[in-house]
Amino acid sequence: MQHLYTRRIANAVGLLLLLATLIFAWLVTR
Amino acid sequence: MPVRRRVQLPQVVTWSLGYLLLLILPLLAAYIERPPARGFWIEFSIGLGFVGMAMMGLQFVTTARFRKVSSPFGTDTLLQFHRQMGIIALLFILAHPVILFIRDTEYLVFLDPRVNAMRTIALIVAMLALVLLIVLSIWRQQVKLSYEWWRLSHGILGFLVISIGLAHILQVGHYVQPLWKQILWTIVTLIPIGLLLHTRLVKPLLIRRKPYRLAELRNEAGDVWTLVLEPDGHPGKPFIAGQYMWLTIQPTPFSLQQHPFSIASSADRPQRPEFTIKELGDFTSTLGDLKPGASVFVEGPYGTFTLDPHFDGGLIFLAGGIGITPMMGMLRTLRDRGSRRQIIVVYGNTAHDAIVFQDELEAMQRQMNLRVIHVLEEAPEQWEGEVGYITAELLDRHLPGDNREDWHYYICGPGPMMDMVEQALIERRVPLWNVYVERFEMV
Repeated sequence: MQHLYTRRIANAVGLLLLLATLIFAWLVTR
Repeated sequence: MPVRRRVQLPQVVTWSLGYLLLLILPLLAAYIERPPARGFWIEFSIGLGFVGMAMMGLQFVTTARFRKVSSPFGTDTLLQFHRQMGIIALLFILAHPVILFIRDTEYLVFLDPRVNAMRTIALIVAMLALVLLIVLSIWRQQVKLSYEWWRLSHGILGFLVISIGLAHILQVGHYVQPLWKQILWTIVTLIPIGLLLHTRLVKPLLIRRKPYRLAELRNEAGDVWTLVLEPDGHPGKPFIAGQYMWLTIQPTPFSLQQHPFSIASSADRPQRPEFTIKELGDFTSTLGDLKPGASVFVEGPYGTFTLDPHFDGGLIFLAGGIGITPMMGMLRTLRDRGSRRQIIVVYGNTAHDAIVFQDELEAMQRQMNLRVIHVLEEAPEQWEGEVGYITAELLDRHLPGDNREDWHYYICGPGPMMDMVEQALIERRVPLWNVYVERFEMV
């Protein structure tokens, strides 16, 4: 695995979780 | 036919999916048997808090030094990931109160000591601890915090954040009304705390059973020392060439002082491991004062910066300064095993007298199928080798131009050098899985 990609992968995980949280908020309030 | 490195893809996929699942577990738990909703932004903010808490909890897993988890990824990759996820977790958790306060000032009651002084203090402590946790890790050297004290603070601050986080979730109670949710949250929080205790207390107890002594202290070049260890009452721990160990050179393994060092000696001689160390930080600058006979505690070996047992093609070692040590371990092991593999070493140093292992590398070039290219920043007169830094252009001149996938590449050295070399290899379409990197300048 590459260092150069590690930060990008972590950032992608962060964005994915942000999306999951938005979906969660939408699901519980719709 | 080149033999490809066997990528541990199934393990990588399994661990990654498990990791993602654990991160969204709090959202799933909150969704089931949920209370009446209070508006999108409020629920979004609560979700951020939950996910941030899960991220924090999993931070203890990525640094728990479990070989099963670290070997498919590589320890330094996991640490890089840990570092970046810490920053992201900080953003998630900080956003949680900020969004609440903006949407509804009623939530400011959480910060009012007249309503609940304990709660106010705990929440402020947790937030300060979280910010400090990240700030001290990114700017440890700028704030002149020693590695030992940083490490202690990192454990304590991390513990504070998740303990107060759990107390906060249970105290607010909105999403954890059912008892099973309270139990689940408590168990899930106890696991990271257990991992912390395992790394900081149980591991030192275990390594105490296999003590080592400093057999010899050798000055290699100006500020570079080789520590030669010998096991005290046991045959020594076997290791793979290129791996590293955590050394505690103190009378007790519970000392705060514990540093990772690459093993520079041959893997065929586990009864006499050698560590070649350059004086760089506050700890390494005291190496010269050590006396033979001093007790040393050794944790490990760890690391995947090693030769692939399923690959017997050519090797390219790209080293900057003291980054040569793990490669020296591999070279010495290959020499001891009479290997005839084609090996190219590109070895960058500041000056001629800073080259460590110069004579031994010279001898190895006669004994093995090895070519060493020295690169000096400041070359003496009549120097016939390369001058400057290890650049992409220099690599083009010395590395094989075609069949790049038939070689395995190892990079270890100062951060900027590694960034440059990694980028150059990627641009030259070297397959990602043929490149091994080792970084230890994390904090």
